Amino acid sequence: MDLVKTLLLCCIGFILCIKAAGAEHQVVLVAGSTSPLHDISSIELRKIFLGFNVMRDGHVVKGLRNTGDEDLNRIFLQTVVAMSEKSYMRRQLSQTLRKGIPRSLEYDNLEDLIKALSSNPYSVSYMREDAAEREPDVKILRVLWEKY
Amino acid sequence: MLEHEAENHMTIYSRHRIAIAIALMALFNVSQAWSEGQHELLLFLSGGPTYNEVTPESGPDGSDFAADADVVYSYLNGRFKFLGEYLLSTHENELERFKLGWQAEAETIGWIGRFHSPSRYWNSIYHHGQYLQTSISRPFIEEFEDDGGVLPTHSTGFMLESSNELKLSAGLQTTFSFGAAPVIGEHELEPFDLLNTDSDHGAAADIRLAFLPDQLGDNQAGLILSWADLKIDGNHTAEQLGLQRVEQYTIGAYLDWRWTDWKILTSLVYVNNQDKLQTQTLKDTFVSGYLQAEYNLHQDWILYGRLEETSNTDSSIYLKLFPNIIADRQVLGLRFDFARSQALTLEVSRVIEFIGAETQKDEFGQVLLQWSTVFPWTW
Repeated sequence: MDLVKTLLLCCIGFILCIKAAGAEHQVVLVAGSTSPLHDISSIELRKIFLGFNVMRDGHVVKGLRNTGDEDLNRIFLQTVVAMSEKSYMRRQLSQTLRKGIPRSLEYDNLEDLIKALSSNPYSVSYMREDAAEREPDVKILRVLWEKY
Repeated sequence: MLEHEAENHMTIYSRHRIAIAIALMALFNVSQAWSEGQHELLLFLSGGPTYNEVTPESGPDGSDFAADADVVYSYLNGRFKFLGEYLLSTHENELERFKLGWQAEAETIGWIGRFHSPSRYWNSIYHHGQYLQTSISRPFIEEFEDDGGVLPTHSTGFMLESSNELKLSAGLQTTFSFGAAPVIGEHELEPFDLLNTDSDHGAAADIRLAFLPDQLGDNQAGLILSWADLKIDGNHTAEQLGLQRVEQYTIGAYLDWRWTDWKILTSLVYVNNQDKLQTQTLKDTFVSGYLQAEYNLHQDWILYGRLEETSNTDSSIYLKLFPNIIADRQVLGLRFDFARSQALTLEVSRVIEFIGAETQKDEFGQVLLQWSTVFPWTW
């Protein structure tokens, strides 16, 4: 019986380890925990971060950049906007100059990012899944990227 | 003389009123409502020397140095937007744009204020952000009024921008504006000045229709149309001709396209002027076009060239009202991007220019060197 218990505990521990390792290799789209947002498509997400308007319930959805982690920033550029850092910067400057659309706000501190998400329920950002799961003030909308 | 002094007092009085209004807005800026929105400030800096191979009698000086600081401020709070652009340079100081916008729907926004005419495509994408445009010079037909431009580039009134999604992620953008047109001043077109609202301006309407194969991309092809009632205000040549106003119609097309390392930006505009004299109306027309090709030699190096030509420069009555008309220009340039957002550009060109009413033709070479950058702040 003890052997069965030990094996069971080992299996649970192994599964949790795999899940934890997987979480580090996933990037998720998040919003504040009280946000009414739940369905942002890939095209809409690209629009949000390129300075186009996506509206929900009469509110413009804002994109907040998580710039604290270099790898995460690279994944964002590849997966969400599909541009190099230089092209993305030029594109954002151009949107401000042409349409008066301010660039997406950047946060290099996770705590500040979470505060910003909580203060505007119509804002979205991205972070690693393990960080999102640890944080009660954010909810995961969907997986943006994962390492196979 | 007294009238002139009174006019100056009025202008100073108007400027004081505007300054007080801006000070009040600055106070409002610190209020809670304002701080809830998002602000962006862009400072575009550029400068460099120009060398002209020969010095035509009425043409450009042998050498010159120009430096510009363009300040762009935008504010966004929910559906409300504000955009202001002020240019300080060695040649001028001007409030370029000042407009308030309301986002009616996701793809529709209405603006009131002063803005760049949507029918001038080049200006609608680069405005005064010299760092973002590859070349140092801009085509003659796209020049701003105070840089020798002969088509209206500023309007004050309202503008409506809307986008429609088409099949396969393509998009159709429509921009329409109606407002005050410039007047034909002593040497140049003079747009409506928000800081001096006394002069008498006619009306102008502009339309731009753009097709984008990818609504989130930069590639587009479009049609541009405009109408403007240009009143005469102190232009001696116009007064000598007995010209009272010019009704101007333009129709044109443009293409702004990228293929891997190539970019093409081209436009062709047909201009029809109804020159209203005291007893009759004369018609004159001209066509102006340019083709700019850019090639990415390397990640940080861009080689570019531009051909531009304007027809009927020696026969158009309208063009005789302006001192310098570029009839033909060939441009070759090289841009080097370095650091985070700085660029050095070298441009050589051959220019054929008509000196206004005298129909004197000058041909000369020009060399320009420019450093440009942008400093962005978001909060």
